[in-house]
Amino acid sequence: MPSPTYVALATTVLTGSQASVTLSSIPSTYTDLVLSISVRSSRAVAAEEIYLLFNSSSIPQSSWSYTNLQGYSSTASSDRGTAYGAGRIIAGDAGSATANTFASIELYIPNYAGSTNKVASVTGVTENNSATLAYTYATALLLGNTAAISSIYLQPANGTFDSGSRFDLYGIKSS
Amino acid sequence: MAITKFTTSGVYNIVKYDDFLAGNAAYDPGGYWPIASANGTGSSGTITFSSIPGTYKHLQIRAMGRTDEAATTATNIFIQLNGTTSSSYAYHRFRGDGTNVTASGGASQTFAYPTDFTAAGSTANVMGVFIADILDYTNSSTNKTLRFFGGMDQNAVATGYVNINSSLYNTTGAITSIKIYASSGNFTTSSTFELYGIKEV
Repeated sequence: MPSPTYVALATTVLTGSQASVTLSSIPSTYTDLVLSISVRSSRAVAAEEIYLLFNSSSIPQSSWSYTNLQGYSSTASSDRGTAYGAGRIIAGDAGSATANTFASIELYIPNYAGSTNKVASVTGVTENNSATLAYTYATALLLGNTAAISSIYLQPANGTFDSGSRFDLYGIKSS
Repeated sequence: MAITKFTTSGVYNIVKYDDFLAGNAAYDPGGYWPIASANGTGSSGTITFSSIPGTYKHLQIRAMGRTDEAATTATNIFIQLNGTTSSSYAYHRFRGDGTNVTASGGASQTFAYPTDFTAAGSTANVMGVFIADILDYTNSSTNKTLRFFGGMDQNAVATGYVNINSSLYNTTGAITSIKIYASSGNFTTSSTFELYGIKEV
């Protein structure tokens, strides 16, 4: 009997505002992880950065770096940074965006249980019924730490996650 | 010889089960399910997935296509949800064309905008592609955000793009139908459109 290759591992749906979300006890039996995020936070801006940690809930976590490519308004840009205290998820929708609108973000985390440094690719968008006030981005993240990932922690840079935000974690198996 | 009667006579340590799994774990096909697929016909520029069940948590479309729009190398591809044709959409386009990177957007649009497909003026047998994600598509109290990744390449002899686009469907309510259409022309018969459902735990 074939085994499934794309398996739902955990789901967190917020029923009230919440400062952070932790997906814990991630089994090491898959090859890669996919984290699907539909999110909005409370700060009174159109979009807000989200911090990501692996195996920790304490910011700063040393040795994060990133390279980012983004579109915002009519500006396309790219930037990178080192020695960050968290993985940068560039933007989720926030309090000033069109009501009831949530960002759509996907993280792909390959070889999460292996002995290499941990990396993730992030593709995300925020939305807004505005020609300008929205982000589209793709980001490469690196955590200079080889420990297998058993938990994932997320928090908005400011404010709290809104009710209705959801976080779905999937495991992907190789043959 | 025909079987006329089952008997446990002579069978030792018999265990009876109430279902056909007979103590075995049910097969779990995983979290990623095909819902529907469609091909271009060569005579229509529209593909519609209708009666989408609400039994999944997220939707994903994987499409590869080309149009017969004449005298161009790229056709805009648009999406409308639940039959909504009013100005209930916004889009944001982030595009690289091999030389330049640009960002643009529009509010109060009549469509979502995933990407472009190749067209009649494109290199032969070359298609455009896109992946569309619609998270939490059954949520009746949230607008729907569409995330797109797509592009097309023509061996450097004509237009090429890579896009990370997004769109807002500024309406709450579950998504039950998705219309994908070309701004002009028909989808060629080599065009394919696949709809998947992604489950939660």
